[in-house]
Amino acid sequence: MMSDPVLKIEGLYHAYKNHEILKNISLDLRAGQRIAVLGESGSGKSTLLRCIAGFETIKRGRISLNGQIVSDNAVTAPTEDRNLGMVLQERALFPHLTVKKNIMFGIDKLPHKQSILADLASLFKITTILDKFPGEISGGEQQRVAFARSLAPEPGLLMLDEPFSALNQELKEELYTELIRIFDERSVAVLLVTHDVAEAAKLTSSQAKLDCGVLTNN
Amino acid sequence: MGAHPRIYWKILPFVVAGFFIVPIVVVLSSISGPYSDNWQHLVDYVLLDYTFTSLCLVMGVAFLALLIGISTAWVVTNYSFIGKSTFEWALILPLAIPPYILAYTFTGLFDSYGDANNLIRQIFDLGETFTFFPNVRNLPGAIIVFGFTLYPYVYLVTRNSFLNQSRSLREAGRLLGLSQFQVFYKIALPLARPAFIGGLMLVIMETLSDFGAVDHFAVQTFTTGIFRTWYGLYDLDTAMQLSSLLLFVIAVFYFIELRMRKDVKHTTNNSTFTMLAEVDTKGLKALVPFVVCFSPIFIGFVLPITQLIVWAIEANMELLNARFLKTSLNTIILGVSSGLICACLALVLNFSVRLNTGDLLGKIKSLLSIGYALPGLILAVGIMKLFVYLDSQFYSVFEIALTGSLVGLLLAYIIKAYALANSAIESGYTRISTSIDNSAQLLGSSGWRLLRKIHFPLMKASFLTAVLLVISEVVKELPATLVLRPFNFETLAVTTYMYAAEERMYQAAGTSIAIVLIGLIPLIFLTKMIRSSRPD
Repeated sequence: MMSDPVLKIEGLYHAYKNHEILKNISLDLRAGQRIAVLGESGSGKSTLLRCIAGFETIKRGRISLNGQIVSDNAVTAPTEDRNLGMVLQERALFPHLTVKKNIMFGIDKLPHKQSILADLASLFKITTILDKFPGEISGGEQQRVAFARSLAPEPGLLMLDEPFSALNQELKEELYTELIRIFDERSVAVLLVTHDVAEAAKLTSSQAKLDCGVLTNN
Repeated sequence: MGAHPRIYWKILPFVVAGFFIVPIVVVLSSISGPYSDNWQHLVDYVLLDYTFTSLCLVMGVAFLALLIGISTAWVVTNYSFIGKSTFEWALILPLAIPPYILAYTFTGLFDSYGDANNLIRQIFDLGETFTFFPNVRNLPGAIIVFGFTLYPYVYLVTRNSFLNQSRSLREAGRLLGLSQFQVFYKIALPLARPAFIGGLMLVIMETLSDFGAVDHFAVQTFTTGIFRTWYGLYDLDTAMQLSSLLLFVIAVFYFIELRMRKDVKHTTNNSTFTMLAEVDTKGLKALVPFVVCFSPIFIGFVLPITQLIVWAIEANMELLNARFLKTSLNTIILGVSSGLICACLALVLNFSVRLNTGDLLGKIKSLLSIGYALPGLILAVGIMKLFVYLDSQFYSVFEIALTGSLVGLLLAYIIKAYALANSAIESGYTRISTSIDNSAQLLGSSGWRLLRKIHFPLMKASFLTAVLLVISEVVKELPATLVLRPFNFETLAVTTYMYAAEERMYQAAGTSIAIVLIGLIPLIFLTKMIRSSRPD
């Protein structure tokens, strides 16, 4: 029997005031699967991720994570209870915490946090910068830290909001290869939103297009 | 933003707003009566005097503050002259001198046997009855005192407005045949109008709220009337009714100021902004902008500070006595407590509004800043009436009296100074991206943990600024302290007032200098802002 999808979106509508941003979105994403949502800026890509994360209260429809309804007409589960990871273009590292503390921020109550840290640091090749602050490391390193921090709590779903757009091509290529290996190893479901078709093709197995709030298969 | 803030984060701003508003509601509730014979006496004999004197005072101060504020702002933004970069920030120094301290030093200097008249008599070998400087203990004297201590409110906003005006607008004026002066009053001044009127409203509110200076000059205004009705006639209800009248007048100026603050945004620079070019001044012509800028600093800061230092030296440092140390300690305890409470409140409330975006919460947050416009005396009257009522109802149950305790004083300080703490925290929050919050929430942190682990460490500097700003306000506050302080409890401001009331100016010097030094704290932050706003 097939297990529940990690993410299931059914007939999702979202609007700001009277302007509809997302219209009748439906999407299934299973463990280990990687899907990209392509779209121009303003197409509603980031809003889709914000709805899944619980930063927005949806207008209609249903979002389920691991078989549990997290957003519908009656329920909006708190973000912190959704077991999600998300990497943003601006990385949003906590500037007052070292790399080590950033990565451990979401797992500081776990007894084996040190081993998780050691694993991720070696996986993302950031062992030498663990005691540095985000302001003291390069953009590429910051992005690696952001990925490590998001994966530390072992989320079922990792959402990527144009995470590579501030990096140069060389750094991007290097990260793509490493990330595919890491995602495969951990069997993590990935939902990538980007405007870069080539990037989507490299990182994901299937792509959909979001245009004026409507999602279509590519 | 967040769709799941816990309910207490939503309720908190309303609870705090309740505490802030109750004293005002108590004062306003007095309008419904009953009206005592004292009220009739006020209406028949003195209310017209209070109104007329207050009106004359406000008009005189407004004229003087506009004249100094606009002329200095124009000169420092448009001309290049010796000391310009120093004048840019030094022009706000008079803000560190509370009007009552300038009033005390003015009387010390310009009274018949004051230092200035004595000096003139000595230099020119004149008779003892000769007075060169006229009496300052009158309405014109009060106008000068307020004008020279409060003009920086107009200067600050007008300078900013002039800096934001595009050169191309003025050049267009010149091409259309306007002279340099016509460009000033037909283009630059109308564009700066919302700014300087907003600043002017602050000047007027401060003038109407003052008690110490008008009391020292024996000028009969609403505040002296409220104080005497209470302390002279022991009639709290009539004092509240008189306060309500003043509150309505202040509300008008408050709303004009709010309106002007919005309008400022519409008149600042646009996308085609070009920096202003400064006019070089040389020779004698360079003296004009120098004198325009130096005079208000000299009268509003250098002169009173010099006088205070002279008094302090002549007092042979006897002012550092046990009374001075005790009042300093009292003031520090009250200032630090109020500062910490205000900063914590501002942090928590801004956090709450950040979690729960919405018009209503935003409006509640703005409402909490209303305290800066409230005269300390009116707040004191409202709090006193409230506490008298609470004591009458609950003293038998709890056996704790609020009247005459430090609670009322702290409440007054917090309401009055909250706006300062809020502005510091609000500006700190603008530097934290909401994506930081989102990341923390995704990593399982929301509510208190987000505030404690992320926001507070990132806002330490803003928090400290908020505490310091509140301390400097609390140290200067006189009327509410005078009325609400516990028996025999003195602060620096109260001790200064009491020495001055007894004409013991030498003793007043120590406490006055301490107040001015602490009052310089917010100016350090303002100076930094002014420097960073200077076009390079």
